[in-house]
Amino acid sequence: MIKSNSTSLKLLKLAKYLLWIGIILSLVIGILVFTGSQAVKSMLSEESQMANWVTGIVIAVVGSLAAWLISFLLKSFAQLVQDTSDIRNGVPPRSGKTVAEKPLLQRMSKYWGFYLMFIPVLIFVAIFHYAPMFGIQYAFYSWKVIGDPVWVGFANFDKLFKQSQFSVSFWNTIEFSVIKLVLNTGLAVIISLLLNEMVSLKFKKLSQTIIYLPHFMSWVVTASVFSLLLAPSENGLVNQLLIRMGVLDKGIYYLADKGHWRTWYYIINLWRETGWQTIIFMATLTGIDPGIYEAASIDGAGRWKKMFYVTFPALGNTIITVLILNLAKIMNLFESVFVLQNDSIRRATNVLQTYVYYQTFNAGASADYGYTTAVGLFRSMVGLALMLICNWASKKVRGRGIV
Amino acid sequence: MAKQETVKFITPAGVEVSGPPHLNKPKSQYTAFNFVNGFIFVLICLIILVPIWKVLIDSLDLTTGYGMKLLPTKFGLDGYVSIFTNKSLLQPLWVSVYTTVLGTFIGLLLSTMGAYVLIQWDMPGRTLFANILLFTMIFSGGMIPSYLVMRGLGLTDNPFGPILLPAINVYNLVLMRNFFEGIPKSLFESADLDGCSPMGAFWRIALPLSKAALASIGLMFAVAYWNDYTNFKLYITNRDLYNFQMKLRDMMQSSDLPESVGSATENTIRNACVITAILPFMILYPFLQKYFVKGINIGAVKE
Repeated sequence: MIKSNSTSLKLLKLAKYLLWIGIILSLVIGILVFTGSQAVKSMLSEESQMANWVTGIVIAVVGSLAAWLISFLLKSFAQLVQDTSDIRNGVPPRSGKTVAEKPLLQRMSKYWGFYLMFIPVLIFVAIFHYAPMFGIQYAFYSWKVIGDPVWVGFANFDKLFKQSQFSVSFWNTIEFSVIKLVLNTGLAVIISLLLNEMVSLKFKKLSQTIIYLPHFMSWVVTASVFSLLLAPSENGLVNQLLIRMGVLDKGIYYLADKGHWRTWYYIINLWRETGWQTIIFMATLTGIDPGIYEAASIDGAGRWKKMFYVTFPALGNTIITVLILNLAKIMNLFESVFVLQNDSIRRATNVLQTYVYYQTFNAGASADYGYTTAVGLFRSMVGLALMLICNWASKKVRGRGIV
Repeated sequence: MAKQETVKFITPAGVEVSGPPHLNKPKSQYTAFNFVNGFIFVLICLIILVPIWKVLIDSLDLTTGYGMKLLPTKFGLDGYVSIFTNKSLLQPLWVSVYTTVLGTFIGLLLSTMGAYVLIQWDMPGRTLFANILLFTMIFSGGMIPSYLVMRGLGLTDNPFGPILLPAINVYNLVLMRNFFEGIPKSLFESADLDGCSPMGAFWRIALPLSKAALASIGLMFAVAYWNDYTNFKLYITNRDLYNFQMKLRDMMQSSDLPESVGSATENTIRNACVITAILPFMILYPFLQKYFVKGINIGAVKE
């Protein structure tokens, strides 16, 4: 009879209970707030006139996620204790890991050098990644540039959902990144297929060198190059070209016009990133066994049939992987939009990150760290949800997660 | 059914097979498809290069109106002379250089040490460490809490802010770990038997065996630091601490231009600045390209 370690069992149970209690508690409080219970409301704040439903949903989501995180950390620790006791009892560890047959502390002492090496990494992660997570609390405060934070409960979220600028930024974020992703990936696939068919190896190498090049220019440089190129004056190449061809009478200021700005945003992204994206597709294509192509040509398949029946199926998985990986990160959009914006079209082209930036650093004395933290928290939450969905999708499609 | 004529021949892969005779013909390189394909790539390369070429020739042109042309009409280096004789432009260049050098060094140190610890599969707590790192990839505090933390630590308006913050890069750390995993375990085991400490094995075995990965990841760090704009924009307001990207952005947006030397116009100096920002990299790029491609392939294709 295998004896289970009681400590680890207790820990596992605790983790499980904590998860459920946390989720149920957050749901209950969420529903109470959702339905407008006076008791809960008075606990939160008096002066905040919050939309009950928003507050309810936020409490439920934040609470459940916190519970999940805590139980997740507890579980990893319980696993460790369980493995150790399994070894001590002379059975193979249930997690399937092989561990030396020594008590935990003794095994840890063998690795003291490694723990020492990991300390700098832990310090950096703690300061630059985990410390800001504690700053999320300011989403529930009002914190003007001058003065101290004041607790306002969910008033910031209430304000946020009423701001038209916020919803414009949110939908812009989705629109820009999804269209950009589809265009870039599509073109990258086409270019890699053509590149793969190239006969002259020297020319192929040269083409690859050139198309990877723009990726290494910073966004500031890219924006500078294109603002010079798209200038409305006689110096702008694009306007000059169109005028000489007789398409235009007078130069257009492309980057100061809503409609044109979007088009050029996608074009600039294509110019900069498509070449670099071909790397991953090229790696897949060169990884296809030439024997398969040979077998296909012996069976009488021509260039097109080989492409349809051999190349496409092999590429399919890579395309899905690339889409999933990038979909998980779409909320991070910032620098590319930021450097291409100018005052005249800023409101129409803001994404969440640029909205946060301008609300905080360009709003003078009316800037409210609390409010912009709330916007940031909303962004992080959507990002986290996307990550989890994509991770799940990735496990389904290719058998392993993305992180 | 009519019997098909078959011939025996050896395929490029070296297998002897028999099949219809058309397969035995050597393929011509000069087919219409290859011609069109080559043409498409000439076009693509031109689309990529024309914007850069345009900026390059304008930076060497001293006339006022550029228009469309392939070579400068009035050639002169005054644009570059204006940059390199002006303190307000040399200072940002110097900031860019030292943040890149210091940041790349610290970044590489952290990534290799972290990665080396993460390949100790039997180490108690390894999974916990890995999870602590991976969690930062799926959730972050956001821009403003980060700013408040940096401000609290005195890292705003301090060149160490933009040096230290990007130095911990979990993505690069995972790439490095993937590479270390390829080193045979027996090497570390025999080092252990010979009395080599973990730190000793790190310096004498892990690092010397991963020079290619160090080059790839070091280059990724270097490019990220040289091109860094976001962190400077967020954490630096003092103009003396601007890096070259910040300065370039300022110059493009306003008429905050340095005094011109000789007959360099505003536009010539702007173009010259763009070229200066990409020049160090452009010179090195053809030699280093393989390391970049290798870097992305360590992480992305490994299944």
